[in-house]
Amino acid sequence: MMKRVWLLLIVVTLLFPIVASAHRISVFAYQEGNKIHIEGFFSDGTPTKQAAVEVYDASGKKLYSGRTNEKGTLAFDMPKAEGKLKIVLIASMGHRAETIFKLKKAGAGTVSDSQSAGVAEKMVQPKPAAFPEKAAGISEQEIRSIVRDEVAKAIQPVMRALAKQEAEKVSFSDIVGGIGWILGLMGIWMMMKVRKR
Amino acid sequence: MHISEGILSAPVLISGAVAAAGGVAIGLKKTENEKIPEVGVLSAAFFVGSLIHVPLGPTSVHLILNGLVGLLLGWAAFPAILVGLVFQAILFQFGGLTTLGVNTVTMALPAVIGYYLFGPAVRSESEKTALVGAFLCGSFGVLGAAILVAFALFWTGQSFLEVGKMVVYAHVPVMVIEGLLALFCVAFLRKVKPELLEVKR
Repeated sequence: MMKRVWLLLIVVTLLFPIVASAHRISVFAYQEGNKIHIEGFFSDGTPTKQAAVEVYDASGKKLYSGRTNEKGTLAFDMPKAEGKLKIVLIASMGHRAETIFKLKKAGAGTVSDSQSAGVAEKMVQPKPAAFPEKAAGISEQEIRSIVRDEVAKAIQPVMRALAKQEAEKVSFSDIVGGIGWILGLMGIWMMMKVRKR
Repeated sequence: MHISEGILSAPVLISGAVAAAGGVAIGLKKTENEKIPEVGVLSAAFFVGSLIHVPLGPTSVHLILNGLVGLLLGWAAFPAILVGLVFQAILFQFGGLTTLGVNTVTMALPAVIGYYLFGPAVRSESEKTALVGAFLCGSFGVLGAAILVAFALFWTGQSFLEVGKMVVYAHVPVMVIEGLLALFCVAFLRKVKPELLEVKR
């Protein structure tokens, strides 16, 4: 009887929390207006509180360093750099994650927008009257940038959910697969030891 | 307790790898054929244990089970934990392949030390002594790993005391849970399969 109770206890303690998630951190960055927001979390969704954040430009120069708040987030002004930013999140106890953030110019499109602006001009040219550069005092560029900001804001929750999902991808088949691998290796080891005799 | 890639400097990574290789070699040599299944099972338990997340304390922590692995395996904890870590790194992206050596040492070394410190108590005739020893061994594995992690991070320029305190505090709940887990396991094994613990009769 006692034996069964002990066995049950062990099985329950070992199996019950398997549904709970695992340990790794992820960092997620998005742009809103003139700021870059950073959010970090452990793979079970807990925010990385008070984690160090470092931002580097493409040449590896450090542009910014700071710490996340109690919600695991941080916002900083858009740096005056071009190309890609490397954002590194360092949480306590040797956890580290990084992400690459592609810079887009905020506000009215300037040099970096030349390509899309060029296309727009070509489209506009045949019928200049139907789509004037300035409608009700708002330039096309401004509309573009407003729309871009609004769309970015609107898809933000989706992006965040995606990033979280990405982070929580410890799947049941991975777990079972890993156990299988380990038991298989054990079998190979035994086989080799037994053959030696 | 897994140190991620890109944090430690090359000398720390290399010394960790060398130490881990030494431990694994001793572990493989010392393991008798009859012990191999046990090594496999405990390696698998270690592999799964890290998925068991403890939602207490300032950061997110998980079970390590190294105290229990050490208690039952002794030096064979090194190969068992290395194999578990390899698959955690590949399948779950815990830690990383370059930090395998360091992570193996931080978790397997306290396991082996725990085996020598508390093994005699666990093997003793008195059930009480055995259970206390088991609890301490389970907790000691976590504590030792926390201290070694702090030590490894110390070489990156972080303050040893500060990081150490932080890691140890964060793992107090895990230490209690793993102590209890080791206690249950030993109590169970003493009743069902005392020869696994080499209990003196």
